[in-house]
Amino acid sequence: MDPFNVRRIQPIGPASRYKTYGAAAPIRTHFRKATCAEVDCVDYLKGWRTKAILVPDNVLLDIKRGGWKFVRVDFDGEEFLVFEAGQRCFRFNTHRKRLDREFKYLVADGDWRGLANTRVHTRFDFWQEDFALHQDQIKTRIGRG
Amino acid sequence: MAKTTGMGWTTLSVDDSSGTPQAILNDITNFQFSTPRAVQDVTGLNKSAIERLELLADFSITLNGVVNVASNAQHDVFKTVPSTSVNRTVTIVGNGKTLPNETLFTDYQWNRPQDGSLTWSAPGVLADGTVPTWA
Repeated sequence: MDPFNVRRIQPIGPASRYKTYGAAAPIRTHFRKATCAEVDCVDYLKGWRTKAILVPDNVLLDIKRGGWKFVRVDFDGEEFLVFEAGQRCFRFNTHRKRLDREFKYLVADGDWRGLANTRVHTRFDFWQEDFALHQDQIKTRIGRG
Repeated sequence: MAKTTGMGWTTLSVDDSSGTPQAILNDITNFQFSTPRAVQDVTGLNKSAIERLELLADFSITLNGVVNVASNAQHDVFKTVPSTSVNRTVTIVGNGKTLPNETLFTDYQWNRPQDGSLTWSAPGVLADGTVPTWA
């Protein structure tokens, strides 16, 4: 539910007093690997450079085997490997692109501290209607004071 | 009800630090919007009306997605979260209806699990106490 352990403002009530509306497009099912060009990767578009002293011999070998093109350039007495634009970057493996596939729409009891009784709406408009009615009910209650 | 397509949710935009909405739906893997339950469950016998009202206005939002550092994509929006205290409008649009939320984001984190993907998470709370409603 909360893999990042992120910083949050604590809710006033316990998790059991909340209800959650969510949508999910998991990486495994809704994304595919993408090339640098598809995600406008900055390294791919502009090229990049790295200090030669930071690249150990075995990594240099991997770079050469991987087919990356670079030149060695001296900037102020320090040697850099300069990679030209238009080739895949070192993080090409992490690029993802969203597939044109509908989200899964969820309704559950609880909040980020714990969810239970997860229901799945098959269509966006059902989920939207459920959500809208719920919000409307809360607004009405606040209006009454 | 008007005719609708099967495409459902069409837009999710979040303001960048200058207040310009940026559409980042394609970078989202996961979205949660936690609201109070029906009020009957909320009010205990010994609770005051004030507590009930505070709870009613208590909402939280969590956005998760894949890192996209392209111009005006999700990273451009959230990279200012640690440095700028600004309320951002999160807007969900689908079927021609809109749900705007004034949100204060409290964190922005990257995560790199073993499968090689690079993901991010941004939690927030409702900033202005106005109940978000579909319109």
